[in-house]
Amino acid sequence: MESQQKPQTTGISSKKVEEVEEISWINIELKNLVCAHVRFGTDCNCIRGAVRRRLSASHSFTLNPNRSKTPVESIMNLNNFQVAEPRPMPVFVLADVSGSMTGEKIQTLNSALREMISSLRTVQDLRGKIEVAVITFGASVTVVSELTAVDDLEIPELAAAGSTRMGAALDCIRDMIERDAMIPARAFTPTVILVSDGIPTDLPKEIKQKVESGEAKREDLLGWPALKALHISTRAGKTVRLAMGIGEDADFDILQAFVNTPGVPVIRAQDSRGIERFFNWVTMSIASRSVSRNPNLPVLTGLDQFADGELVL
Amino acid sequence: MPHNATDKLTVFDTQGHPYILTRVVGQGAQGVAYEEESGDYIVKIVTATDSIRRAELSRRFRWLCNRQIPENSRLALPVATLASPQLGYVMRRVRGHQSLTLLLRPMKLDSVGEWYNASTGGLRRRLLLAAQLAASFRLLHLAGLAYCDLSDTNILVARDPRIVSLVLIDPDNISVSGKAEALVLGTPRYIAPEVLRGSHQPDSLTDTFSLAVLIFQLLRLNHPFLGDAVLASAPDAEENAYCGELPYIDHPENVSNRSTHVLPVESVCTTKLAELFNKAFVEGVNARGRRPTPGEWEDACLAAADNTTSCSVCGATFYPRRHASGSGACACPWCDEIGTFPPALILQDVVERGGGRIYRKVGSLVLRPGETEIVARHFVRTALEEQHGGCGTASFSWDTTTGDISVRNQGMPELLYRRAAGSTLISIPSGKSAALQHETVLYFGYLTEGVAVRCAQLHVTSAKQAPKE
Repeated sequence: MESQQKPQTTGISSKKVEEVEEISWINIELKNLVCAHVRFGTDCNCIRGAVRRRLSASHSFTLNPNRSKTPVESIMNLNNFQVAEPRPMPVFVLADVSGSMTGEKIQTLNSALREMISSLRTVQDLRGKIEVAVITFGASVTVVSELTAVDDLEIPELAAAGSTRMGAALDCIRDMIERDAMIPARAFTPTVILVSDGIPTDLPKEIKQKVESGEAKREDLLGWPALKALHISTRAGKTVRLAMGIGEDADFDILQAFVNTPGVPVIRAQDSRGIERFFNWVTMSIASRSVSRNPNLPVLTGLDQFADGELVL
Repeated sequence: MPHNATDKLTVFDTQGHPYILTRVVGQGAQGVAYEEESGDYIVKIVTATDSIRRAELSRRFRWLCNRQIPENSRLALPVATLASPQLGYVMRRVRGHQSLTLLLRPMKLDSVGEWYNASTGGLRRRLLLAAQLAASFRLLHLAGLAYCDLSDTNILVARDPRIVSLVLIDPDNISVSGKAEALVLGTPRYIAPEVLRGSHQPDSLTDTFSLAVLIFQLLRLNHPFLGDAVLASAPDAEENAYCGELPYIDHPENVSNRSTHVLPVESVCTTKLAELFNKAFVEGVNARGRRPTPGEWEDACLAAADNTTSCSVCGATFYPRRHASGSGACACPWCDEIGTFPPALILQDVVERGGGRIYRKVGSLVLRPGETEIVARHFVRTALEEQHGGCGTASFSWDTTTGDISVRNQGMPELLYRRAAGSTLISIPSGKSAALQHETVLYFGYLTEGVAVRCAQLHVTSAKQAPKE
């Protein structure tokens, strides 16, 4: 086929063009061109972009770096233009699906999560594209969904059963966040959302005893290897962490130790409305982060929708 | 979401009129916006609890309601304020419009070309929208006010890509320029560097910076200071860029912040527009007074729109450039279709003085297939014309199949043409048409000693077709 013909250039070969660093005047004619990347020089005096023109169309252009910054005829087809990729804005949801969540709590959690995802889909933002991962912890830790663009995300119905292996879940997300391949350097710092209604069942014995007797201090909880590793790790330690405890049996000290950020409260949800309010606040916080001046800090607007008893500071 | 259909809230304005709130349409740092049952209004309720802030907002809403804002300024202004204990205001709902954000970032799966052109109206519509926005700022600034919080989310544009209509919402921050007790400083991407650095409060000059950023994004699809290096590094790096610490991505000398994710300047900007962007983002970063004014942007965008043509195959609008294969052809930069180079009018001001004439080129107008109208801004109104009652228009028609071009006088008191240099001037009475040829010169107005009139010379590129393939 004719389209397989090699591009012909006069004056300079297409291979050489890429190697030219300093140029004064170049006259090139490209013939029988299907697709070629042409690049001159190192900076603004270059023509970049793909050339995709009709087969027999021949193009000539003249470039004088001293006079003109743009070629006489631009040969870039605008359809090859790529808009800058928005920065990934990762959100990790760590959800307690232990047996005690059975019934209304897990139902509400399911619907509140769905509401959050659908609200996040409507966030129109130039800087970031929201990606969500969902990890559940009960008798075991399950990555229900790896980081997925919010438009493509489908979360199955979460079902409650088993113990509360929160420590294993924390290890799991720390590992996910530390993996470079998953979150590039240009991404926003991830948001980690922890939702639980009870005491973790995988606490080390000493801490567990203190928690059960009500003697556990913040230092004891921060010393829990799963939390400590999270807080000191380079990337996971910098995450924006938000947490909600559901019902009276949730351990707010542990949730506070998880957040470990002055001024950021843990939300206490007494009923399904409280769970909805929490996810609504999380949505607002994520949506407004991308327009805030320092996008790596948590945004705390919208806290006034909570009653005093719902904020644990 | 906390506000379901089950817990409908009724609020009252200060005149006692009730509004039954139905649905949350927006949530921001300052409050929540609701639709209400009649569908005619949007109700904004402030959720902030800080009493000083509430008092300031309350004062501001009352001020805005009573403010004489120029007509045609395209602002969705409050029509009523809410009665205590609620704090907020009611504004008319803008129908058939959507956020301008949708014009700045392509939807998933769309090809960029399809999105930029078919779904959002293309270059010509973007230029006309930019001109509308600039006009709105010009009127606001002339009234001594400043908008103070320009961002893509505060602008609505018609959903229909064939309609050029733009509305500025969120009037909360409009202030008397220079007297802003800024409640918010704006949206980071658009805030002027001096506001970010804390040396100035938002005013009309910071507005002009935000305006330039917005127009830049609308045309070129990237931020003027977000080069490839900034976008590749952590999000914190953007702050330095917004503060003006990095050079403009098209800086004439400093190449350290170049971008490859920006539509080429020659494809979407006229020389004048490129010049204005340079002025705004090179000198204008620190020299506030050198930033192009809204009026300059309006003129440049309208003039640029006048010089676009449309592709007969894909419908994209673009500036026709001579194609290498033949002088009578120009290629569509989006689909490569080679079409006929459109005829154009070169607009010139003429002063006749002692038998001699002085010509000055003031612009050009590319004829579109079908009808193209000359409007008031294309010519100078003279005192004589005003005396004769208005200036009317002239409509050009270009038949792309036959190549015939004609002009029709629509109420112009005087429209004259000369076929060739030296030939006599012929008058076209109102309501009549005349066929035009290459280099025909038209005069709008009276050729009187010492009085400037505008003339237009028609340029038709030779009808030689592009080589067939």
